[in-house]
Amino acid sequence: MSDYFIGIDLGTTHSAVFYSAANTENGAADIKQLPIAQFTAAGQVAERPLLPSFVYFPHATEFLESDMQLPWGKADAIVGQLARELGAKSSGRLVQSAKSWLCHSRVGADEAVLPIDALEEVTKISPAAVTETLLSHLVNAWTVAFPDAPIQDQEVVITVPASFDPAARTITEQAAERIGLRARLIEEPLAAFYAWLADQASWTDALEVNEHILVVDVGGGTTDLSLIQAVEQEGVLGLERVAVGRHILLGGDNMDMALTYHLAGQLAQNGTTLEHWQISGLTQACREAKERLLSNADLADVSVVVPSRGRSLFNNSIKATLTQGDVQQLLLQGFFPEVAFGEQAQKAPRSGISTINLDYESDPAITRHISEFLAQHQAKPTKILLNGGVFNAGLIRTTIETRLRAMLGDVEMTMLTPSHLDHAVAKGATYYAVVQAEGGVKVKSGLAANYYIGVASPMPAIPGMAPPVDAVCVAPFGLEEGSEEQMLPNEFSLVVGESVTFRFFQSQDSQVDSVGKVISSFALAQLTELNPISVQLDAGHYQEGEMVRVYLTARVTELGLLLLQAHDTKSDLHWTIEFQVREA
Amino acid sequence: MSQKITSMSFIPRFFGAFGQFFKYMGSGDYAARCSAVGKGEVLAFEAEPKVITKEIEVIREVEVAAPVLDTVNEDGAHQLLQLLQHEARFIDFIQESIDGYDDADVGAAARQIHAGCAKVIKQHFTIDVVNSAPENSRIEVPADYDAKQIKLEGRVEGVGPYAGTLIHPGWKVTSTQLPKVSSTDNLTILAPAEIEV
Repeated sequence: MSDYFIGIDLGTTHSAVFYSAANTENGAADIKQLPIAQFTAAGQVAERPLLPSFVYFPHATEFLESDMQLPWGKADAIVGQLARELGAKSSGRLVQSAKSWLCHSRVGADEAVLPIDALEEVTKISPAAVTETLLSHLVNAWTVAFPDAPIQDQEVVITVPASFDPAARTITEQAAERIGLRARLIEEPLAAFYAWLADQASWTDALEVNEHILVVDVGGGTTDLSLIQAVEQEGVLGLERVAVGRHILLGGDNMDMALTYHLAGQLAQNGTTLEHWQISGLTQACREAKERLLSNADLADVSVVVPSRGRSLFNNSIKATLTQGDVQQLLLQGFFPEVAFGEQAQKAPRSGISTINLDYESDPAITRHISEFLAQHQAKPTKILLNGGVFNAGLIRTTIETRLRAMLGDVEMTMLTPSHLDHAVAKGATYYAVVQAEGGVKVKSGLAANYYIGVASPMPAIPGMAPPVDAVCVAPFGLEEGSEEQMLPNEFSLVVGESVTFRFFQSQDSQVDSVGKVISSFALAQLTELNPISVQLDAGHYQEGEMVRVYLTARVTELGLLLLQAHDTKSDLHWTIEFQVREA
Repeated sequence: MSQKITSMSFIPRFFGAFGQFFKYMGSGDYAARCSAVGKGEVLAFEAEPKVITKEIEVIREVEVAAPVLDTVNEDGAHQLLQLLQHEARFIDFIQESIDGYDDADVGAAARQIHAGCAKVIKQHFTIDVVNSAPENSRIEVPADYDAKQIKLEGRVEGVGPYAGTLIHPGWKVTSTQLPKVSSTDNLTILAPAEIEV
């Protein structure tokens, strides 16, 4: 029995840890935040509520041995606030946004690619290893604060974006496992919804049967959408997460960048070209100016000053003015324009070749992404739950509300009151851990899509044509953790003892397919292909390269991971096809 | 009395008397002792011990060190300056003459410095007022007030309680959370020289 319930919000830009003592009367109301010790300067350690998700690999001479001392021992790399500051001044040593790399479509999570601009002497590490570094920092902070309650014995929930594919979830889970955690995963928008549930005295009064709730979670770097439906389950009101959006790399940081480039453009017209360090100084100044302008609509303009890096605050400083008009135009029109229901996010023409980096979104309009998502699932939500620091600005809240009302037409829509815009995810995760252990209302949330495996059909050799691949549904939409193993009705041949490639696909809509349904090779375009897996399955007593008759099963483990297994029809041998072993 | 003399019976007394005659005749010292006993003096072991008590007053002078002025820990002061320079470029601002710049320039810089300093103070200290009454309100001060917390000003006389107007509510630190340091060497380096290579 654990003493604490712990919720870890492993964010793209910031991480936070919340916890609640077990067996308290207040339950969810008693959720506290864990202060996280981190470097704030060389040799100085302070506790902060958030851990910036940045890792910096210092040069050998940059710090003295004594400067790298954390409360739990010597650090190899700098994690947290100091890492972010150092990275802004020195290039080629900082890893950031590692989480977004976990579901990169062309780079494997185990591939050592970060820092992306690494100097020659810096050893690159994989996105999975960065996740492990960040997690272990948080775990160490817990251990120092609660030496008598080892985190390995506690109920831990880690949040992941709803748009994470099964492989990215598995990688996060495995990173947690390597440092001894046995953590459950929960989708971030769902966690924000749990935080709202935790605040309700009686949630059934607030919702009606068949009502859709749209959760809009705009983080620093990502926008995550989820649709939850209130359903009737055996006569009582239940909740079901019915759809999740795709991975949209667009968030609050884009808004600061928009203002920065606007001012940089203005300055360039006046003949001032900004250097790299001035851009980051300008972004910081713009963020502060934006917050002042958005919180006070009567304020006409705010001057933005980037002082020189030298000792003088006045000489060579760069001055610009950000007006209320600029902010409203760039942020409200740029990110929250008026759109019609069903409008699709625009795809900018891409250049044929580009450096390997994250696939940033080309359409900044968050409202258009919402419209595309809702149209795809043909849902008109009547309740909206917002989450993320961006919505701290009242003006942005009212704008998105107006836009959604216009988009949804005559549907009566209510905005739910969020628990806390910045901390709801970690708080909700903690509440979810409590619900798991002590009972309470649960949101049914199975797989967010149908999953298919590519099966080659034999055909006579035709020059220039590869044998066609059909997709067979192995795990249907909504398959829940702990539910019964799904068995495919037909048998297949599996190549063992030889390196083979498996192809995986995911449906784009939330139409439930039955297990074993075949999507023919001609209709494959309607599915999204996931990263292929290249793996050599252990031959056992078979000859290498032999074809074995197998039946396939799929289930979702109690930790929420999709697991595919091939069972030999003639012996007890079985092979697990793991999602994490993927190749770029 | 530590011992009692027991009386002798007649026979040993009769024979003893002859022995005593010669002993008496032979020793002047012995004869003198016997005559003393005959006069009624008691032997030492028969006598009641007498306790003599006498109170003496001892006056000892204890030397108390006079309060001397001590310096507070300098490390904390250096660390605070480091933090103010790091977040608000406070030292840069103070070390530069602002005479040559107009109010708008100084004002713009002051905003940034204000934001930075406020961040440092908020992050590392919890600060509260000493007296939470509104400024300019009438305040009663008891006779035994704490002179560290309250400063009486104006016509201060008599023994109190005192009544007066609250001019400034005062400030106090209720908690401090300064960064921990692994070594207090070189805390005098408020900011390292930055060299871009």
